[in-house]
Amino acid sequence: VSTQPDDVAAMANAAGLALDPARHATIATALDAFAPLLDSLAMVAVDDEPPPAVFDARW
Amino acid sequence: VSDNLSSLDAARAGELIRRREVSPIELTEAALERIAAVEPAVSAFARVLPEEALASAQHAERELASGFDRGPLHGIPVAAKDLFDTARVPTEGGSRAYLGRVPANDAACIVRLREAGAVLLGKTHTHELAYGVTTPASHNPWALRHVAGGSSGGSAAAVAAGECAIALGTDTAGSIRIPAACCGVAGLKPTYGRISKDGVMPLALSLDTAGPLGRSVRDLALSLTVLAGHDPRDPTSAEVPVDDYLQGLDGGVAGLDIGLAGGHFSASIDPDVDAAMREAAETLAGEGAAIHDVELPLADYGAATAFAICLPEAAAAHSRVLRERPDALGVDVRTYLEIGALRPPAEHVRALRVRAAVRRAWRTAFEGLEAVICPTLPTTAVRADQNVVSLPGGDTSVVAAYLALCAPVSVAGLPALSLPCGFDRSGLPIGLQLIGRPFGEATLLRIGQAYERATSWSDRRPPLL
Repeated sequence: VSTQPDDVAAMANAAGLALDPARHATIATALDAFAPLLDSLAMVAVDDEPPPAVFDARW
Repeated sequence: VSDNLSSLDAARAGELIRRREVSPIELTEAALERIAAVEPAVSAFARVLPEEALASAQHAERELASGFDRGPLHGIPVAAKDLFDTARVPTEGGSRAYLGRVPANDAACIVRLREAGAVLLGKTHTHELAYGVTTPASHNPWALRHVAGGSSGGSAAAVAAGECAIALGTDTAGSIRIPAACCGVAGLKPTYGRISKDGVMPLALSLDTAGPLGRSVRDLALSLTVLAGHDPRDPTSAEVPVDDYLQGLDGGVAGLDIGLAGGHFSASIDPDVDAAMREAAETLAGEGAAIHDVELPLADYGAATAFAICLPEAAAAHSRVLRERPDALGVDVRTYLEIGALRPPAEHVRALRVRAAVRRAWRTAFEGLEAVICPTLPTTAVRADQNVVSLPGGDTSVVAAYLALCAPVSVAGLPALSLPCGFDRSGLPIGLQLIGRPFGEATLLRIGQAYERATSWSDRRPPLL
């Protein structure tokens, strides 16, 4: 299912990004273009990999 | 005479300075003359700083004359990608969105170069915000209608065209190695955290690295000696001792175990590049290295992982611009930033976990090996109007092709050196990539030096020289 301009509007709203409505169609197309590449990461087994610890609580 | 001076690498120029056969002022004047002569064609520089450079050269000359020697880069003309902050000099990241941005302070790398006595000639073009692989503002000195590569395209073009001996670049997913390969120069992407990024405009903080481009491996070693080290002002800076990059540089490769990457790294490569790669492996074997076939797992996911990390981190880094003046951004970069703001955050976390998996798998693959070699790019510099490249595996976008062999190394956080290793049938340079172990820059440079000495590829100059 391809991304629709209305979907982009909803995503932008959820992300708090004030997007120019004229951009919605362009971004929908770009999101669809990137989706196969980014979605491919779901093929990599990462359950054994903890997210890197980036927080250091030392004072 | 000035043409001869501008073709010297920094190491040789430094020797001549110490023998008083040439002065920093003469070197700087020669570089400025060279810039004036070739910039109309090459357009490597966003901003040239002739007065500041000559003042620095005069200062260097006075210091050296008084016996105060700051080391091998003292009096050597250098340049920096316009992503490195320079005090009171605009640093705009190649973007109209940052037009007129003037930092108060120098980036840590600039401070270190100045303390080493280097002469800053100016700021080089970058692909906008370092977010791209072509650097449209610059032209490839080997073929002006072809791209210089990116994002540090101006730095690579400046070195290749003899406008400076050494130039700083940054590399998030290939941005030092890609232009080094396209322009036929040497470029070093250090281990993540090896060189301070304080004062460097970020793209993706968890992938970004800064490093040198130069005409010889020895120049990279000299540069790294100045640039490497922990910096408490950079939260990503590594507290790992700095090696002596010069001591073992001429040690050769006899007895070293070096991997030749197969699988992803050899699957869809231009035949000329593939032939050059096999010849490079034979050269290293001829120098005494033991070459082993090796697979680096998960490399197929390198570009996807790099994008999944870079998209949201870049959107965060440039969120203010995205909110306040998106119209000032270029079309492609604006779209990347907008997508980065919209993709689900869980994707970023997943990508970080994939990166951890890559790191673990590559650690195993590197067991018993000092380095792994592969092409830097599956092809050479494309025409500036070209968006698609034909490879044995099929047509692919230039972005995907250029990231394919570089991005996995960035995801793994490892150091990598790109060196000239031949020319394709069109006369365009081919890049050899040497991938090292974490903080294994000294060994990489040693291997690179042995390769460079055994071949003459690095001695070639573009026809416009």
